[in-house]
Amino acid sequence: MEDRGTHPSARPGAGVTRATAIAGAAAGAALLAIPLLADSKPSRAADAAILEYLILVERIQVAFEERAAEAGLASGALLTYLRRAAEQDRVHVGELAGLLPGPAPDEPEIEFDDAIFVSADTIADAAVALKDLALSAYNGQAAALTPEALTTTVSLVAIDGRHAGWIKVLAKVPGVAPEATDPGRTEQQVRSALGPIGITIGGSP
Amino acid sequence: MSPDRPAATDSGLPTTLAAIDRDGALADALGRAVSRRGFLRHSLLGAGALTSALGLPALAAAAGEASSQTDLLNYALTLERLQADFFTEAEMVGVLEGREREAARVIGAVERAHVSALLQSLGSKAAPSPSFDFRGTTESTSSFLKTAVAFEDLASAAYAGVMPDLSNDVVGVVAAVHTTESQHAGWIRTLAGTDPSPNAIEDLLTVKATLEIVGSTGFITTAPTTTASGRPSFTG
Repeated sequence: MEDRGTHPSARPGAGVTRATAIAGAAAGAALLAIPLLADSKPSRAADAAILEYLILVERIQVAFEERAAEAGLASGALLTYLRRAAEQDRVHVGELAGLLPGPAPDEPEIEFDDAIFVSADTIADAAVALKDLALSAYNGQAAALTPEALTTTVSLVAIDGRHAGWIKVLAKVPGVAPEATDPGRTEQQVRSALGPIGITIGGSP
Repeated sequence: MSPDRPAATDSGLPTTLAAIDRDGALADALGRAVSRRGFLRHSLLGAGALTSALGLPALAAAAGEASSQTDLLNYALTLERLQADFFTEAEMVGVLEGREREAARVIGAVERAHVSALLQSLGSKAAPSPSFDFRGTTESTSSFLKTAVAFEDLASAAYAGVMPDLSNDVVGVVAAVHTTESQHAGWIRTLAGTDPSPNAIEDLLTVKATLEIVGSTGFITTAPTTTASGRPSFTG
């Protein structure tokens, strides 16, 4: 399985990163080589754990977007983005929770490095990194979900994709979104990518 | 059966292009979009005539029978060809500047990469490409943006609609393509000054609805070449 630990949006730096451009033609060839991340046959029982994990991914986004909107650093188009993304990602939490056989787990403590909330630019960069991470989280589970669950998750990740294109224009990402594919990451890879972005869950390092 | 050419509106754009404008009109015009809770494991196509006009192999004909994986990948290939040719033409026509020109160049490269990958995957089973006539929509920035918005909205909803029907060995790859189309939708809508994400949940388009929308644009110009050598024997 390809190690995604050095994915552009997971590189350590000033706590936040930008995506790098990938030649379309090369990525087109690479598209066929993307490994499947599912190891077992999808089932409704397996869906529940995956959905709880995707709920966490959406909750992280909501927590970031709400804090960023309230930080007093963003205005205009960026502030509009943060508020809209938070509102829609909150809907995603509800939609995913609605698929669970029981109640959703309690939201864990989600902490952010102060370095994220220094300027509109650091907020925008973090927003880009988080959206790329969210796309990779969903895509990493696509083959593991039952078609019934996938019917819902594809309708939500499409919106996260719209958010990603939107914020990348605002953040002036070079080439905006030049990648031919948005490959998936495993849950472990996603959790490992949070720290370099400046996010910790439940107080753990 | 060839799609009828619609009359132009006062804006110079054909009425069918206006009908696929995502801002409100599309959601109403779709009608046929299946709610995501009802769309499970079926691509009910009944659109044999349309798929013939598009030069596509006949997709699932029997009610309740899922399309073959080859048919679904050819469906994706057709959508990617439509987009790739549009953005390529827009770049070549050369009226775009600044961020719009960059979008045509970069998105075009991505769509061409998608076409290449699908052709490689399908091999000899790849459907032939229709011919396209984008009817002047690449010749001004405003019409380029409006058409690009419609295409990317369509691609995002169409891929979402087909994903639950895909076999396990391709769904991860197609997911990785789907979200690039969604990113394009947010991107190009931002450039167009249109709300990049008006809804919290993406509509899912069936194959049938998507092909009907594509047909209604009037951008497909060729009917399949017949191999029949004799006159038909029916009486009028």
